[in-house]
Amino acid sequence: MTRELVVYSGRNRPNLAPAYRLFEQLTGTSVRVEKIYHWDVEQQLIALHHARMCW
Amino acid sequence: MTSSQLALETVRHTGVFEPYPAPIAREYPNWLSAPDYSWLSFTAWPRVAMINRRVLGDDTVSWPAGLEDLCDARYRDRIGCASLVEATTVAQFAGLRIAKGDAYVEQLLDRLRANGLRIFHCNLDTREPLVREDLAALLANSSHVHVFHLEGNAVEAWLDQEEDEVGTHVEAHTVAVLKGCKEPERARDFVDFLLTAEIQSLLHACTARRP
Repeated sequence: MTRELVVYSGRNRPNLAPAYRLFEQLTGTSVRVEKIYHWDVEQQLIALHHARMCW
Repeated sequence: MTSSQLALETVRHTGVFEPYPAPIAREYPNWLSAPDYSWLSFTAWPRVAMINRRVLGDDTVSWPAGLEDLCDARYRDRIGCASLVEATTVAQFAGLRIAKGDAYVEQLLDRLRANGLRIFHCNLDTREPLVREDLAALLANSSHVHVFHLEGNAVEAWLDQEEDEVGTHVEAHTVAVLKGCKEPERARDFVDFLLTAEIQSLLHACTARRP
């Protein structure tokens, strides 16, 4: 089964898509990017951590 | 990943990150990683002045050399900055408050506003008015200036570079591994990958972020 790396990213700049694609091809790990709005990223990280929603 | 160290450092004490002293990061200057390696910076962006050469010309004598210069009457109603929606603006002035004190920065902002500082919604929105409205100089990230420079519009000036000055604010895109994540080894591999010279060079070529 292909492993998946989830990247929580506050912004879409810089555009890291080329780096994601290279990492996928070199490691066989798929990369899924989920946006977290950067302005309140601190509280969202804490909430995710406590809820164990995603990891 | 974030565009600033600020958010990750703010939340570091809560223990949401799994510290990772990546081999490359251990060679970094201290300011490019958390003291416990909870977060690591991977590209830097200086906060500079975007200069409109159509207004100020090519002689750097007429360009602002520091933030204080932007309070000068010769730049009245011809300067701008992104709003506090941008973490970059927040980080720049927060850093300045630490370096020079609250009172100084509050007075500086008052003087900038009195000199007609234009406030734009975001960094992206600063570029077009610079040319369209013949503004002289804007506070911006160097990557924005780079994009604009490719279109022949502006150049960047690093402010406050004299020996006794505060220097240029340089922030950094930053990555952290989340504690308890499903794929910690893959996450660390990805961090190592981001920090390689090859990917740093790629990001510099594609996005004008400084390695």
